[in-house]
Amino acid sequence: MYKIIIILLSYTLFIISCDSGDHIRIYRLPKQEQPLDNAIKDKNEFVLKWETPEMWTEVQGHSMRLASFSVPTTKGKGDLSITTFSGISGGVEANVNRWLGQIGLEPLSLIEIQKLSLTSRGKLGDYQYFKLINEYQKENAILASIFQLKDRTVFVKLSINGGGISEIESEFRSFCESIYIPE
Amino acid sequence: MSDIKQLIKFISSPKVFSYTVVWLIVLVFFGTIAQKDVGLYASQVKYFSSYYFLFAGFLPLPGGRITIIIMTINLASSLFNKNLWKMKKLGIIIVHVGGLLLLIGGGITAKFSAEGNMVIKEGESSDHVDDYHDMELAFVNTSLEDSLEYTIFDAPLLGEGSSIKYDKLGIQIDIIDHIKNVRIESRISPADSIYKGFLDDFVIIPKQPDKENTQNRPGLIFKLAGTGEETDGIYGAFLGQRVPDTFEIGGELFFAEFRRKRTYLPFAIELLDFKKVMHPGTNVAKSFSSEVNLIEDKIPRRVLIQMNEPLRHKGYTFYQASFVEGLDKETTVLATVKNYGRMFPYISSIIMSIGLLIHLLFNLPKMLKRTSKRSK
Repeated sequence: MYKIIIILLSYTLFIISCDSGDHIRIYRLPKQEQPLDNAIKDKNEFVLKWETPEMWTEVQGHSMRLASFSVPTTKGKGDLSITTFSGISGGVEANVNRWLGQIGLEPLSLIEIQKLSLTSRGKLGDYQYFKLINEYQKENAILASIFQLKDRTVFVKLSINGGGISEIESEFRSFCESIYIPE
Repeated sequence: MSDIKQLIKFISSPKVFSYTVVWLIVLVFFGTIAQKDVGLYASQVKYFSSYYFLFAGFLPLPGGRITIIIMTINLASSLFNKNLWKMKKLGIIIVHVGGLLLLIGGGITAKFSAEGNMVIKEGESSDHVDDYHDMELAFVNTSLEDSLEYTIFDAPLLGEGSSIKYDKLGIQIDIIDHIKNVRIESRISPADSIYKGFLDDFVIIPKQPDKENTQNRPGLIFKLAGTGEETDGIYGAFLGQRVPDTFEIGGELFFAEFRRKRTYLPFAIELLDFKKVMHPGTNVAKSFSSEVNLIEDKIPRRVLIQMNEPLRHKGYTFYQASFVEGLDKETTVLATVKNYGRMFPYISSIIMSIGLLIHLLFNLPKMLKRTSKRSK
């Protein structure tokens, strides 16, 4: 009898310890609406065009961006991004305070932020322009524009060395004003 | 050899069965109490699906799984007891066989069954089930002409500190953190260049896990190497990420998705109409039902799934579990269970009932004799 029980025990141990170890699987599915397609569709549903300054180079940014540019100045290259989100996307206050945090500055109240902004008009409509410089850490500066459209917000943000701002500011403003929705 | 015989005698002893039954009652008691604090899933994992658990954080005690295994071995061993194999004990033998079948069925269910849900919007169809608890990391190659190639890394590979070297793509994935519940926040200072994708602008922050595991949003932080200098770095992914991160591997464009473990079915279900009836004057649903097309080999069959009337097909059972109210269309949530051991409780219960009946019939003359003696 003990032989049978030993077999039973071994069998049980075998069953409980069995694991194919094959935890990597590969399969193919026909192309349908997949997450990436959704992302592209989301961007494509809202298409923007602009006039790119001569020296700027379009670079591959991460997937949340509509476009990314490398912006050269004598103080180094800046990173410009264009992003769009539906709705107000956190609002002006939250976004500007986030940018202020990124360059080492304390957050401001909405009234202070409004005083800091400059409202201009471009092809896309009115936008709020911000020039954010940390006077104590001049290597960190941000130029940004926020277009509050009917059902979405467009952000144009340039992270750059503060020393290069004077060289690029007018180009940045022209770029923002050139953004439009093609027919 | 005598030691082995002693051990075997002990293992097949009816006392062991009694002790394990009592221990199971204790486990059920503690498991039920624990549900209040840690939730159903965590309690089930700790007390019933484990081989052992730590009582008060230091004392190891046998968990439900090892208890059931001991019980199964004990019951199986008792069947080899020569004294049992007599005609007058036929009923007891049958009861033992029924009990054994019940335990084996439980083992099969624990090892191989899967449960999840299928979410379908009105007018749309689905052919997959998302697991309630297990997660998977999918690298999806989008560069093929008419298909997407999914490389799936299963949950056991995604533990904190794990390293996956996958030669087929020439990549290495080091899991830095696997977090049960996360929230996403914008960075307040510029990210180090090692952070890629959405981690360039955002951070993944651990959040107190909810008692109900399905309410949690798991997140994964991993280091990717072997894709090239530009894209190698630390990436993040979380459940429900709307815009996945993309990167190139060997000139082909991939995106990463951290999602609930997905099982594809050999058929699809299309939601034709979702109906709900509310209790008058409240927002509480009285009943809801889904009118669906079960599509197999391109042939649709109309079925109504409603509360207590699930759809059973090819070993899968679809229960009407919940719904999501939409502006224009509604979405149904079908709880889906694939249980290979589904029939075991029914069969074993019938067998045990037959065994008890036979045992009763065999003992009936003796009992009647005893009763008549007493009455005299």
